[in-house]
Amino acid sequence: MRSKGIYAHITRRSLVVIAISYAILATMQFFASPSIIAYAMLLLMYVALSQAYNLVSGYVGDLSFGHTAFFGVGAFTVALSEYYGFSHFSPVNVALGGVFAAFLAILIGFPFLRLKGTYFAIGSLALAEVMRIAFLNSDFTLSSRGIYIPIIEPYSRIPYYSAIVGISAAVTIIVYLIINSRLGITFIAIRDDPDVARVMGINVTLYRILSLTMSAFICGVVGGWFAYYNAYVYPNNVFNMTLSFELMVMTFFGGAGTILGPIIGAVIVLFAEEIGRTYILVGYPLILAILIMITFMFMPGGIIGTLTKSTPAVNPFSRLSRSRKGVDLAEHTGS
Amino acid sequence: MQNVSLKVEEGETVGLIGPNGSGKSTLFNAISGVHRPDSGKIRLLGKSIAGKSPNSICQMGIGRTFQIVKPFQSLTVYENVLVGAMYGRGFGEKKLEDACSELLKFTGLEGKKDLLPGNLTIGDRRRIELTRALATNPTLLLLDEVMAGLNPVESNQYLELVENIGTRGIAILMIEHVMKVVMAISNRLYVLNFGEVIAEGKPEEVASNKKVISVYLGEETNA
Repeated sequence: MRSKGIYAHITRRSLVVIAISYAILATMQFFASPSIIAYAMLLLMYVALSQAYNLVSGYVGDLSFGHTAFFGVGAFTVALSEYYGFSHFSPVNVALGGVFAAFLAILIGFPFLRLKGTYFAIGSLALAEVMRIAFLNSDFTLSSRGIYIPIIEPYSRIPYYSAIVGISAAVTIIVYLIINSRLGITFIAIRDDPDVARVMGINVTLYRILSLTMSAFICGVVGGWFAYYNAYVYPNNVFNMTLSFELMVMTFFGGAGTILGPIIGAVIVLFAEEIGRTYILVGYPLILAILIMITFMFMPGGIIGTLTKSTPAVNPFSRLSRSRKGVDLAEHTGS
Repeated sequence: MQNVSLKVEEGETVGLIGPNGSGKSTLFNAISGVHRPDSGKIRLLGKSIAGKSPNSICQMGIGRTFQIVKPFQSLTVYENVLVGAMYGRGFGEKKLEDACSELLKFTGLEGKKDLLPGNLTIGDRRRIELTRALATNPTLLLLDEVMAGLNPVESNQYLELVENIGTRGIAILMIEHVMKVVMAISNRLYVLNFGEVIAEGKPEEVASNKKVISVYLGEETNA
């Protein structure tokens, strides 16, 4: 759902809704209770992460199962930088977190994004787990003890809150600008039909790596923010598989390939998780499984996609089995 | 496919005909880089292209359409064409938007440029593909059965369009089953059967070629 063509009015409406929401959130810091602020911060974090995830899995169509890897790299960059005294309370740390996450994206993208979708899906999952285990067993990263990040006294939530409002708004704006640019057209063409995209001159692998890198940078920056806000970084909480799945469900349930989708998805999924935590306690990720099944069985375009009837052309999970160069096209030509 | 040897001169329109399964689309896939040939040479304006990636081959100047139309479903008509313009051989100094507008006028899709392909007829979707392929500014255009399934009015419009493309100096290699079309506008024809070239020449020569007739009509000619 983009600003061109017959869905232009829908996108304009979404933008108004988003702008108003951010205005409310920005002023909330002055009068809302601490618990609401805390919830809002978590929500905004997920909105930013989901928008980044949407870039890769919604708009380009590369299904990622390991996005927590990028988040974790960002968090640990800040944590290690603080612990080893490289720099203190500096946005440079956070930006650096994004940079390292971007490097990781290029590292994994290069071999895996040139292959069938399943390889990247599995590869990304494996990457996230490998990171978790590696960091858990390395003394350099303080293995399972975790790293505490000092807090500036006097403690106030406000700076962290303002930061995530800003980051989240910026991410939404950036993703919106990318999608409505020529780069966005390229991404969507690749998602719709990578084989045809190649024949039209697009270096598909290159653009896939580019979108993963951008997405990773964003997740790394958010991870860095999280490190400062949470004040404690530990492999099992920042290289967390549940986080990867949360992003996936938020994006697809809300509406992959739309601007409003991940936002709605984040709101609903967080709320559903709260309910899940109350009634199912530890097994609350079951909620995620239920939501994703509902999505693919009844509403593949997610909430926004189904409401606006602008479902992406192909179900991304079925795209996992799309073959590399050639075989798909051969199936489509008779003689 | 074996021992297929064919040539398309600059500015020529060459037809490629043959029964179903004779390997015509496979040949297109080999030329456009979708399949890598096991042996043999493919050259474009003297440069070898066999084994190159499809996107490089497109940038060197080969554009194509597909037998089953595949415009990008989530992009508008204009954006579909823009993709070709952005990543094809390019138009030098000319602005891409101008090139796209001209091409859309040329193929008659100007009025529909902000619509999505899913809402258009098959004839229009074929034109989207054709416009997109032209937007890559090809020296050689591979047309895969663009006439199939069109009504007589659409057929005639298309015929004119393809002729106009030929007039612009773009070489065309077209797979066609609709005989009257391919006979009318081809400078030369190749006939493929079971992956081999069984005849070539001017349309009139090929039409009266006994081998070609028997391949198309089977044993009836002997009766």
